[in-house]
Amino acid sequence: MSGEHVKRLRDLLRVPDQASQDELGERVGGVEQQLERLPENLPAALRSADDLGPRLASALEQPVAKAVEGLARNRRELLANALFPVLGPAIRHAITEALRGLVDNLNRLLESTFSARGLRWRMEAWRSGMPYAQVALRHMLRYSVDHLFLIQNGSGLLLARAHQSEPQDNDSDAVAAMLTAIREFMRDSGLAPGEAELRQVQVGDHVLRLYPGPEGYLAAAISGVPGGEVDASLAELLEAMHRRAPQALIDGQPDSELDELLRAWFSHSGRSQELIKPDSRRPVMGQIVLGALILLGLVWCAEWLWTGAEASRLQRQLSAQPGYQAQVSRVAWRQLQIVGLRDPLAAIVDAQLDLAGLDRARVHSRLRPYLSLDPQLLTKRVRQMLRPPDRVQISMAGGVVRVSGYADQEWTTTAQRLLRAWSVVIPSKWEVQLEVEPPVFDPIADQPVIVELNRGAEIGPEGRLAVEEIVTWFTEPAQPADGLRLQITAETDGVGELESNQRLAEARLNAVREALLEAGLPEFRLLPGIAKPEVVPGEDFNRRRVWVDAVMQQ
Amino acid sequence: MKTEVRKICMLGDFAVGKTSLVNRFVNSAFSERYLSTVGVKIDTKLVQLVDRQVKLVLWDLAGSDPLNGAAKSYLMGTHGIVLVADGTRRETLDSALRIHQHAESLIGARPTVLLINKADLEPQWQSTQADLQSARQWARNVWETSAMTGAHVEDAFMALAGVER
Repeated sequence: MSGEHVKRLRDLLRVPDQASQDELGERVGGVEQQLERLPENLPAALRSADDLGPRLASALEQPVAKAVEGLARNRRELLANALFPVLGPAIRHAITEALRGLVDNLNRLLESTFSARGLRWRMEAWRSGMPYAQVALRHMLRYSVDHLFLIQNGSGLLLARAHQSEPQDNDSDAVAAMLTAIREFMRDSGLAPGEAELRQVQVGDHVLRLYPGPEGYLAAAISGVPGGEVDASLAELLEAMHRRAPQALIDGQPDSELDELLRAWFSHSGRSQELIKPDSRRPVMGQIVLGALILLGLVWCAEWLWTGAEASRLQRQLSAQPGYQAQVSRVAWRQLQIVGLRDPLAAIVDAQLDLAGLDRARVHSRLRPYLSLDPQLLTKRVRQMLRPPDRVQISMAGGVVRVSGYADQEWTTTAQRLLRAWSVVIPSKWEVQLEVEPPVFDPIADQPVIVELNRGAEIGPEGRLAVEEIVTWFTEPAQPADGLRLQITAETDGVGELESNQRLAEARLNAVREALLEAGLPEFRLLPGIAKPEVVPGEDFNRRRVWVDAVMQQ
Repeated sequence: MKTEVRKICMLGDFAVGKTSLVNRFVNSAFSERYLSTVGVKIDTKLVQLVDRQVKLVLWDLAGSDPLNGAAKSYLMGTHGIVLVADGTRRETLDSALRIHQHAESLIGARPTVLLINKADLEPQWQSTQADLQSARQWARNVWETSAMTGAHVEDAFMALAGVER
C-alpha cells in the first residue's frame, strides 16, 4: 500500500471522531484558562468550600507546615517581626503565671520565718492586706528607673528620652550611640551564642537593661533591684511605640507621640509599684482585729487602774490598823495579794476586806504572825493573859503598863507572878505597875457583893471577909441612908433534885443572913431573901454563890 | 528650633588622622580608650546652619579597614560618611576608595566627603592633583585638611551637615 493510500485511509478513519476531538480540544482549553485564573478565583472558591472544611484543612496541613518551616529557617527575621505583637503578650502572660507561682511558693516558704524583719513585714502585710511574700519582695525589689532611652536599631539615633533627674552629661545622643555600638559589638563579636544579644549590664547597685524591638530598642538605667513587672511594663511600652508610631521608628525621626508615651510611662511606672491590688476584705478584717486589740488594751488599762486603786485603798486601811506590817499589790486580772506580817491579836483580814468592800475570793493573803508593840495590842495581850476581874483596869501610857483596881488576893498573887514573867518578854521601856487593893463594899457603885460558899451552905474565909466588909461599911464612918436595904439572893446549880436544891438555896440564904446579923448588921437593913435553885439540870459553880445587893427604899 | 540628628561615620586607613580630626572638630564626650575596646568612639557636635540646627553623631571607627572586621554593623543607619586619607601616603587614598566602595555595597550610596589630611605637611605629599581630581569623581566633596592647624576641618563637616536628607 502506497503512502497516498495510507493517508487516504487515515482521513476516512478520522471523519467520525472529528466532533469529539473538537470537544476535547475545547475542554483542554477551558482547563488551561481556569488554571490561569486560579489566583483570582481561589479565595472565592475557598470561601464556598465550607462543607469541605475538614478535608481542605487536612489537605493544606502538609504544604502550609512546610511553608512555615521554610520561613522559619530561611526568613527568620521576617517571621519574628510578624509574630512580635503576638509573642510579647504571650510571653508576658507566661511570665506573669510563672511569677504568680513563684510568689505563692515564696509565700509558703517565708510564712514560716520569724525574724525581727520578717515580723515587721508580716505586720505590714497584715495592715495592708497584701500577701506577705509580696511585701517581702516589694522591700527587696525596690527600684527606680533613672533614665530611659528609645533608640533606633542600627543607627543608634536617639528617638525619645526621659529622666528621673537631669543627667550630669546631657549628651544623650552620644550615650545612645555608644550603647548601640556596644550592643552591636556584643552581637557581632561572636561573644554571645547564636542570636543572643546584650540585655543587661550590671554596675554596682545600678543596672542597665535593654529591651529589643523590631525597629528600636529601649534602654533603661535602673537603680535598685527591679522586679519582673518593670520588664513586662517596658516591653508593653515598646510594643505600644511600634504600634502607634511605626514610621518614626523606621525613619529614625524623633516623634512627639513617642515622647508622650515615654514620659507617660515614666511618670506612672518609673518607680516600684504594687504587684497586686490589696484585697478589700482583708483590711476590714484587720481593722476589726486591730479595734478588738485596742479595746482589749483599754479594758486592761481600766482594770489595771481600778484594781490598783482598790489595792491602795486596802493598803491605807491596813496601815491604819495596829498589828499589820503588810504590802498590798495587784498580781493578776482583778486579783490582789497581801504580803507581810500580822499580829494574831490584830483585826482579822476578812473583816478588813469587808470594810474595804472587796470580795474575799479576789484577795490572797500571805501573812506571817508577829508580836506587835503597838500599845493597843499590848494592852489587849496583858488583859488576855491576866484575865482581870471586873474591877481591875489595865492601861498603857508613857511606857508604863498600869494594872489597878480591886481584886482578891489570889488573883493579885497570880497576876504578880504572870507580870514578872511577862516583863522578860516585853521591851525594857515598858514598866509594869500593879496597884490592886482588896475589894471594898460600895453600894453606890451598884455592884453586888458576892459571898463565896464552900460545898453546901458553909461560908468560906473569903465569904467571911465579904460579910465583914459589908457590915463595916454600915457601921463605920459611912453612915448609910436610912432607906438603904440589903437584898440577899442565894442560888444553886441544877445538879440534883429541885426540892433538895431549893432547901440548899434557902440554907445558904439563912447562913449569910445569920452571918451578917452576927457581925453586927441591924436587922431592919435586911429585906426578905430570895432562894432560887437553877431549874436547868447541870453543874454551874457560879450558882453556888450568894449575892448581896444594896436596894434603896423610900 | 527643631534639631536634626545625623549619624556620621569616620572611615579611613590606619593612622590617617580620623580621631585627630574629630578631636579638632568636637569636644570629646568619651575617652579614646573606647576606640580600642569596642572599636568605635562616639562624639557629637551641634552645628548651626542657616535654616536649622543639626546634631552630628560622629562614629569614629578603628582599624585599617573597619568594614572588614566585626564592627561593620556600625554603619547601619548612617546618614553620611567622612572618608579620611593621609596626603603623605598615597596608598591611603586607594584604601579610602576601597572602603567607600565596600560601604556602598553594605548600606547603599550615602553623602560622602573625602578629607585629604595632613595639609600642614603638603611638601611631603605623595598624592598628586591628578589623584585628587580622580577622587572627586566618587566623592561629593574633597577637602585638604590639617588636624594640626584645623584647616578646612570645620568646612568639611559643615558641608556634610548641610546636605539635605
